[in-house]
Amino acid sequence: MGRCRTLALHFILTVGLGIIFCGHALAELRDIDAVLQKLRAQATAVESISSEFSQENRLSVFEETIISKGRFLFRKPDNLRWEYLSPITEGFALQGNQGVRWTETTRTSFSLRNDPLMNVVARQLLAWATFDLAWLSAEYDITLEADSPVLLKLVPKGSDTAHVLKHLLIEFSSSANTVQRVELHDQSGDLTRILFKNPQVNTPLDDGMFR
Amino acid sequence: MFHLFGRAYAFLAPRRGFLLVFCVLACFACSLFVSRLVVREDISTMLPDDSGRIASDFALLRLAPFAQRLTITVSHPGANPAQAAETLATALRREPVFTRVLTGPPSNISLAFLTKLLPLAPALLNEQDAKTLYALTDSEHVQSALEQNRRDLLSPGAVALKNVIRQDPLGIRNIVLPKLAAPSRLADVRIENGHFVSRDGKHALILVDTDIPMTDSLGAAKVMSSYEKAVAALPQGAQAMLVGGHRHTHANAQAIKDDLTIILPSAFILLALIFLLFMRNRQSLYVFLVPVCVVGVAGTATALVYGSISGIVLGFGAVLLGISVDYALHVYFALQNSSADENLTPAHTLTQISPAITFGALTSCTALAALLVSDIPGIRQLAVFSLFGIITSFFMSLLILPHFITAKTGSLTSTTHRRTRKSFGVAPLITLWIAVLSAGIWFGQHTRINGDLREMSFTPTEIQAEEDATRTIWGSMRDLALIFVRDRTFDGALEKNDRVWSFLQAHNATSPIISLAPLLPAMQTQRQNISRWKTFWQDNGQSTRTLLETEQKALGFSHSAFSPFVEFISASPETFSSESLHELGIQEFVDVLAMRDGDDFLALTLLPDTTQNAALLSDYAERELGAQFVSGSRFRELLGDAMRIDVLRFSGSALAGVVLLNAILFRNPRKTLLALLPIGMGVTTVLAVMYSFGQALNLFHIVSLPLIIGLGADYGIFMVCRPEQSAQHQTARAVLFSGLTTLCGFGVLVLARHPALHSIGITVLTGVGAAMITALWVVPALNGDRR
Repeated sequence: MGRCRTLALHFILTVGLGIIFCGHALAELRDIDAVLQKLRAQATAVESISSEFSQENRLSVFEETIISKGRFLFRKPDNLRWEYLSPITEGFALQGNQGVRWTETTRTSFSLRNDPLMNVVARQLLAWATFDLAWLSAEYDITLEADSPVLLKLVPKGSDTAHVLKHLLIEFSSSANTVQRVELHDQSGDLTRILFKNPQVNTPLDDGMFR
Repeated sequence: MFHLFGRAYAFLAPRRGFLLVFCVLACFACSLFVSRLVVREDISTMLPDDSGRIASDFALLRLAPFAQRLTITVSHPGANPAQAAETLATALRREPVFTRVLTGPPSNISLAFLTKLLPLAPALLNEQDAKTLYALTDSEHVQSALEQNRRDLLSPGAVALKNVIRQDPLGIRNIVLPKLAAPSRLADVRIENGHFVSRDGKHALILVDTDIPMTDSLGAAKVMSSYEKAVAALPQGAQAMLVGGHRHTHANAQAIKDDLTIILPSAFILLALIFLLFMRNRQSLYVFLVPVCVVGVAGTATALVYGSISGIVLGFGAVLLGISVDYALHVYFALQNSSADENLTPAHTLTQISPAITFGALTSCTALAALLVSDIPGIRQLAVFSLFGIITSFFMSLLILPHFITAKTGSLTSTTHRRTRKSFGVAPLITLWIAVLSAGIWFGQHTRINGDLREMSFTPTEIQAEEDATRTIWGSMRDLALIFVRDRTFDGALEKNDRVWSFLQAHNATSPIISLAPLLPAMQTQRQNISRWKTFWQDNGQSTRTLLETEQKALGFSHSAFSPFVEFISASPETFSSESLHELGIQEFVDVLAMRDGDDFLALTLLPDTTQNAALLSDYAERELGAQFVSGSRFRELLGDAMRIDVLRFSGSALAGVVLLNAILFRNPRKTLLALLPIGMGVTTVLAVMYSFGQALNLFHIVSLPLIIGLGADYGIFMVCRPEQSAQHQTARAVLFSGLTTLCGFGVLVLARHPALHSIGITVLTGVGAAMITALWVVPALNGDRR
């Protein structure tokens, strides 16, 4: 009798756990779609973002971890400003395809049409700011790592990007309408982590900030 | 000898039924054959095919990067043109006639491109570049370069740049990258998200390859219909412009076909009208049938000789209608009126008129046979076609037609009464000849000859406008001069290519110069570059490493940060082949600038088609470099010269032949000069008209000159022979009608849209018109012959 109960318990556990596992996997599939759609819907309500950031570079080419601080501004549809305030002073601002970049001593204009690297960087930043789901899904395999707060893992699909980038981790704020952490893990194990602080959504931003 | 035609008439007269059946069957067979002919509209048949420079230049011009390729410009106002281009490209790829469709550079150019490119630097950097290496290893530059690297590694793009910076902290890539720019100057294009886009971002470019030669008219029609089908896939509001040789071929073939559908029926209708309005005789229909049969027989015979027939030559069928009817008309008028004299049987009449017709046909054949000495295959084909036509017409008129013409009953018309007056002496005739010759020579010297093939083909305004727009958007990528080098091996061709590049650099040729030499030097050049690289780092490697270590420590770089660079400059570099460029994803550059031609390899340099560059590449320089300079402007110049020589050769031969034949026939200098007068007037009038309207003589004007010579000779001979023939033959009437019929044939050609057919029409219209007027009124006046 006791043997039968043990067998029955094993059966219930095996089948039950199987059902729970499958159900969880199906739920996860549904969850990622639902989460992405929710993020997309919330992003559509965002007209502008102003945020400070702190960037942590753990690169093998540097003796020490370098922490830099700066500011990130975004205004729909395609205005960007990304600048470092310490330990270096440099950055770029962009309006459409035309941009300007600066250091402590220089200031030069550029066009995304003639600067492939800036084009890639700007395309990524704009995709995150507007949560361009179509573009992101085309470029990355997206999985949900955690749902509170939402943490997405993005593995590049194209061999071109995958050659240098292993994956990205993106964490959204609990209000889910802004990104609060981005981690870039490259193929050599180096890490760049960007933490966004004090985000302000839909505050008026002056045109001059993007020129 | 001329009794033969009288005897032949007597022999065939009882067999009229058999003759009729034979003629109907032969004409039906020929018509059937002609209707199934392969008609070619290839303009290359109108180029000299001798072993001279023109043929080889034309063959090489066809190898130019954009000669065979189709370029499509896509615009989409208010939307992304690249997206529309991609939609069109997808539709084009579904069409089997297109072998390759490119909307951007090959997609395998990766983020790792720079790290793959750098190992090629030792074999690529030339003597001039080596000097730049000194500047890169200068302590000041090392410090600033490392500071910049640090900034770049802290920026958002660091992930893509890290490996490049580790391998090349000093920026050697900046010496190599401009070498890639040289081939990309082919068009004024930039790359945006993997698409070829114009500088203003309003247009996207698609490059399309097809295996169908651009001179194949049937293939070109297939290419165009496939393109039209694909264009339907474009989103609403998007537009596409196609530029390419296939479009021209299709437009020309279409224009010739359209012209033929108007010219041939119109010529037949006009001829029929002349016969019906002025001759008002059922038998005149038989005369009308002669040129119909002649075109069929001549087309069949020409196709049997050549395997196919040029559309331009076939278009000349309308012209032949006008010539071939001359002999039939002469026979018709002579036989119709022979009943007035009871002693004059048809056999006698034929014997009487056959010398003039024979000599007329002989002079026409001589003038047309002169075209056989031309270097241009299309003109030779025209000569064969016309010769078959004249010979057929001659025999049909003298052997077959007389059996279907019966003498008119009743008296002669008043026009047959002869009124004679004293003929002018030789002096006025010689004076007139001197005037005509002087005018001819003067106009001949002052009339330009245009060798530009583009003006001989039909270009609709829509195509012209789109070509102009394409040139404005992408630059003159199709109008570059080319320098070809040839060798049995690929590396041999690259060696010569390197010499051309050095020569152009040393002599400050007009830029931009697009060459493979900076990107893919020959093995010998690569070995020299590698040797220079090794020497440099042997001398400067240690000091650079020390400098780097000091600066990297000061800026917080790790000890191993630039170890890939140290390994790179310490390694023993190797030469590379075109395969390495293939791995880099830039094989396209090699494919555009290097190619196979039979067993040989060709390498190609492109440069602006300027007079300075043309002067630089003199015959001597070409020989020294083992190269051939080919350009559109030089080609047109060479073709103009060749045409001038061709004109002199066949016009001279035609004139000499005709003069000789006339001298033999008349054995009288005065009569010979009289008979030749229509020719002189005809040719001089053509030259005068061309000069007066500021027109240059093109290939087709020139082709028509021997026809004027032949026809003018016919008219001259008929009119000078007239007093020696029986009064009833109505020679003037025959000449008038034959002139009218010829002018009708040519008059229709003037309506043609195709410049070639139009040129023939306008030339012969003026030339034959003048020759006819001279023959009908000037020659009899000078000959004292009035009827």
